[in-house]
Amino acid sequence: MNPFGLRRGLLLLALPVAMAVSAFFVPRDAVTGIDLACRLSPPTWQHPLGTDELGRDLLARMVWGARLSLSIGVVVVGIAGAAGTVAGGAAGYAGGVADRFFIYVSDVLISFPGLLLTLAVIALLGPGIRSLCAALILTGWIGYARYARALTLSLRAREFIEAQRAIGSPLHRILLRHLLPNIVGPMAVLAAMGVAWVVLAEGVLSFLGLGVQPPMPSWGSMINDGRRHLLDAPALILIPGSALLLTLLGFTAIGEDLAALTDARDLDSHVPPAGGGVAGSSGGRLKKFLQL
Amino acid sequence: MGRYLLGRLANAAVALATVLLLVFFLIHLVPGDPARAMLGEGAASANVAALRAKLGLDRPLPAQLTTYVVGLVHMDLGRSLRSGRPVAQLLAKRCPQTLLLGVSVLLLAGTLAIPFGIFAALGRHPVGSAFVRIGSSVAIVLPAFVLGPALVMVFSLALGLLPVSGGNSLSHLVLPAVTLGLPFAALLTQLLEQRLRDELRSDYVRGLRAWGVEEKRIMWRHVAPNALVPLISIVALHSGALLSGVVVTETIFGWPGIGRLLVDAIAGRDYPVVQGCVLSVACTYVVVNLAGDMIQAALDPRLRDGLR
Repeated sequence: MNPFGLRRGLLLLALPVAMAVSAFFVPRDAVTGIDLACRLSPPTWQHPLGTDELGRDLLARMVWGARLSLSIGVVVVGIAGAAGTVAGGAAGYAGGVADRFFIYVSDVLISFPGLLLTLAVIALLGPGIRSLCAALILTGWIGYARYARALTLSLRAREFIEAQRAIGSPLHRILLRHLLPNIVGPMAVLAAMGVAWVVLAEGVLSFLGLGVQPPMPSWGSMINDGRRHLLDAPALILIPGSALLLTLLGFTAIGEDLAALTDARDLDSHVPPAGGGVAGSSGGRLKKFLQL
Repeated sequence: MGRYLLGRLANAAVALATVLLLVFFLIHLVPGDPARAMLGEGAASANVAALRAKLGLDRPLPAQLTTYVVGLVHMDLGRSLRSGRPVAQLLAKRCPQTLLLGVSVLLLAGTLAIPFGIFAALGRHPVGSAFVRIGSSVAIVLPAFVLGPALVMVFSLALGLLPVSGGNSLSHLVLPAVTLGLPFAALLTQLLEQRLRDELRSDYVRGLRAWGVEEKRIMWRHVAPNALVPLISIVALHSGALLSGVVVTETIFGWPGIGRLLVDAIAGRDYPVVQGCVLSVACTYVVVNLAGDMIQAALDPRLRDGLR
C-alpha cells in the first residue's frame, strides 16, 4: 500500500478540478466567440494557451471542457451507481425470482461489448449531451448492480444480519443501517474508477462527433478539431490530450488507493465487535478511507 | 468435458438469440417515428409514409419479426438508406479489414506482453521492472484518440515514415495496430506479471527448485503455461473493449472497417446499417468468448472436469 493515502490521486486531479471550477468565471462568449483574425495564434497575454482554428481562446475552451467532462462523469456515475446499488442490493437481498430475473437482464446487457450498447442508445436518441448521459447511465448501472449484488449476497449470509432478522429489526433498518454501510466502501472504489471510465467514454463519443455538439467544447471534440493542424499547431491536441490523461490517471489512482485503504477482502474476514455494533465499525472504516 | 461444452454452447445460443431480438427492437425504440427521425423533422408526410412502408414499419410486429428472421437466414439485412446498397454487402466488404486490424493488435500485444511480463515478474533488475510497471500503468490509460494523433504527429508528419490514413497496404496497418495494441499490451503485461508472481510463490515451484530443476526450465515448462492459460479468457472478455477501440481507431486513421461504417451510420441515422453493424460486432463478441472458453477448457483439465 502506498504511504500517501489519497494524496496521489488528489494531486493529479488538482489541475482538472481547478479548471472545472474556474469555468464558472469564464463567460460563454469567450468560449464560442469566433475571431478569424487571430486564428491559430501562439500563446499571448490575451490568449495564454493560444487560439484554435476559428480564433477561439484555447484556455477558455479547456476550462469549459473540464467542467463538462467532470460534471458528466460525476453525474453519470452518481445516478448509475445509486441505481445500480439499489437494484443489485435489492436483488441480492431478496433472492428467488427477483434475483434470477436480475441475473438474466444483466447477462443480456453485458453480452454487448464495451461501448457498443452506448453507441446503439445514442443511435436511437440522436447525438448530444443529453443522449450521451442517458446512454452512459443506461449501460453503466449494470456493473454497479452486479457488484452490489455480489457484496449483498456475501453479507446476507453473515451472522450479524441474521441476528438482526432474528431480533425482528424492520427491513429498512437492516438495509440502511447494516447492509448499506458495509457495501459503501467497495462501491466507492468502483465509482472512482467509473468516473475515469465515463470521462474517457465522453471523450471518445465527443471525438466521434456523437457527444457534446459544437460550438460547445469538450476535450474529445477539441482533439478531433486539432487533428487538422497536427503540424502547425500540435498544442491543439497535446493540451486537451494531456488534461484528459491527467484526469484518467487521477481517478484511477484514487480508485486504487481507496481499494487499498478499504481492502475489499476485509468484508469477508470482518468480525463485528461484541458491543460497538456493526454500523459503528463500518463508520470507522468510512472515516479511515476518507482520511487523507 | 461434454457437459461443460454443452452448457457453454447453450449460454452462447441464448446470448446470440437475445442480441438478435434486441437488434430487431432497436429501430422500434427510437423515440417518436423512426422514419421521421431518419428523414429529418422537415420531411413531407408522404415521404415519411413511403419510408415506413419500405421498411415494413406499418405492418404488425409479429409479421415484421418473421420477415427479419427469414431475412437473417438468407443473409439479407436490408438496404442502406443513404447509399441504397445491401447492408450485408457493406459488411462483407468491411469485416475482413476489421478482423485484420484485430488480429494484428492481438499479435502485437502478445509479443510485447509475454517478454515484459516475465521480465517484470522475475524482478532480477529492480530498475527495469519498475520501469515496466510505471510504463504499463501509463500506457494502460492511453486513449486511442490521444495516442493515435500523437503517433501520426511523430511517425507520419515529423519523420515521414508511415502514411497518415487510408487502408490499402500493410504500411497503413502499423499505426492503427500500435494505437490499439500498446494499451492492450500494457494490460496484459500487468495481468501476466501478477499471475506469474502468484505461480512462482506456489508449492510446486518450491518442489521443483528443491528437486534441482533449472530456473529456466521451471519458468518455460511449468510456470509460464500455468500463468498463460487463465489469460485466454481475459483476452476474450477484453476483446469487447478492443472492438469499441476499433471504432475510434478506424475513424482516426481512415481504416475502412466496420467501426467507421457504424459511426457514419449513427451520424447519418442510417438505421439498417446501424443494426447490421451492432449485430455483427455483438455476434463476433459472443463467438470470441465462446472460443476463448473452449480453448481454455481444452488446455486446462480442471475446468472441463468441473473442479474449479
